[in-house]
Amino acid sequence: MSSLDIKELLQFLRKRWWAITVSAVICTVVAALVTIYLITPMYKANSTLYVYKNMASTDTNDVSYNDLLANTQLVKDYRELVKSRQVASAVISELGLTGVTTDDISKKLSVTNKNETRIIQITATDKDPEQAAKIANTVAKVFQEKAVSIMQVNNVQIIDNATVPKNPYKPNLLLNLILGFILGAIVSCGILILVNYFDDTIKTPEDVQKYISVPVIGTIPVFPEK
Amino acid sequence: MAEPIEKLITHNNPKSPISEAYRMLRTNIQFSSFDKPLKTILVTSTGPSEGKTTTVCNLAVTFAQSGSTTLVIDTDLRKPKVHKVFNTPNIRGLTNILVQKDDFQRMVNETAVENLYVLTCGAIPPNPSELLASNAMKSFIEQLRDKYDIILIDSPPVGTVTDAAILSTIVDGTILVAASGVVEIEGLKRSKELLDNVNANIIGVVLNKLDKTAKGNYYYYYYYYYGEDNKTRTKKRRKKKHRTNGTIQNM
Repeated sequence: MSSLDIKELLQFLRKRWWAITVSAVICTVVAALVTIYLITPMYKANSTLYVYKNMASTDTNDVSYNDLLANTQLVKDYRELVKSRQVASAVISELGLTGVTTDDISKKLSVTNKNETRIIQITATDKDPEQAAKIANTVAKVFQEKAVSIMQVNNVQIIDNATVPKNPYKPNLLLNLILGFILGAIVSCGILILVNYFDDTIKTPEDVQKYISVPVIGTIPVFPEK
Repeated sequence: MAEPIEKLITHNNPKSPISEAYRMLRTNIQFSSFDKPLKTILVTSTGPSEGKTTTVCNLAVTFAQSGSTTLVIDTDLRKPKVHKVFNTPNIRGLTNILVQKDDFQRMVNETAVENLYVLTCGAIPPNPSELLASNAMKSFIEQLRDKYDIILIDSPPVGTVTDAAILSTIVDGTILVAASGVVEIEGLKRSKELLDNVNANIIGVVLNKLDKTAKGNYYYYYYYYYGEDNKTRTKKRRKKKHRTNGTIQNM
């Protein structure tokens, strides 16, 4: 595609800016409606724990690179522990949940550690903010017990209990509106370009010259509407 | 005097940019042939509704305004429209002359425009193509040459019926009207082929219904610039003016 074609295409799109705008606005409205009425808001609650495990290293004062590395390895272990059936079933019985499988609980949980420290964060996701906080707190409690018994961790302390989240983390209304707007604009541009591509009519004097090599002896503009 | 004409912009608003576009078309026709002046000109198009009749009638008005005795003949014996534009009766016309050998002087209508005369199609015949291909038609056109300065002939679309191709062989030149954004490339190519096959003298293409905002349509701005004074368009006009000048010189 030559630069002239692109220029013509841009001109073509510029002339139809209203169609693109309308499409973008419609998609934004649809995105807003879907976000507000159709998507169930999801809440996240975090609890943080301090996990200390004595390393094999004899010199505890010197935190070597290997120790840090081992620490990040351990976070993976903790993650699996948090997501284990043992923890999940303990949570279910603790909270007295019914109709919930251990898998359902595991899916709601995620574990991260903060910047290579020994502090790990347990995040619970639920459509009910209070439930999310409850699960996060219960998991932290269960983990505290299990980690010591299963993983021979020296000490686990709960730093922060999960609080009931005020705002859902999902859906993000603003993000969805922006995405809807951009999508609407892109889709309408695509359709217009396609229509333009399949439009094989003569439009300009140059077209006439190009296709039938007959001189254009007159050009009559569109009559203004009365 | 005939009925007033409402639809003709060249008659009702001679100073408009569109009237200027028709005048430029007239000039281009006048200058397109030096040795043998074009007296009989056929106007056709690829398909219907591309603006044949509008072009013929407005062009005829500009010729008449320039002092030429002008005759418009409607040879669209299938869907005649010229009489509607000029508000003239279409009880008798071309077919009466060809079939009944009536005197053409009595069939030609005067119009509200000075120097402009109209010959409507008359009763619609069952065999339009044969009638137009007849020797009677040929000799009739020849006979008119001495009576008028310019004869413009409206015809059916060349891409649909053969009438226009037949007529193109007995006139001095043929103008192909192409509606911008309507006529397809293949259609226009075929029209040219059909006219070339009968060795028609194609004077050129009139690009009609041109979108004034589309790229390359600088003609419009030229007219706009000289036709009316509009401050809001100054910037755009300046940009286009330079290119327009170049085009005019090339003509």
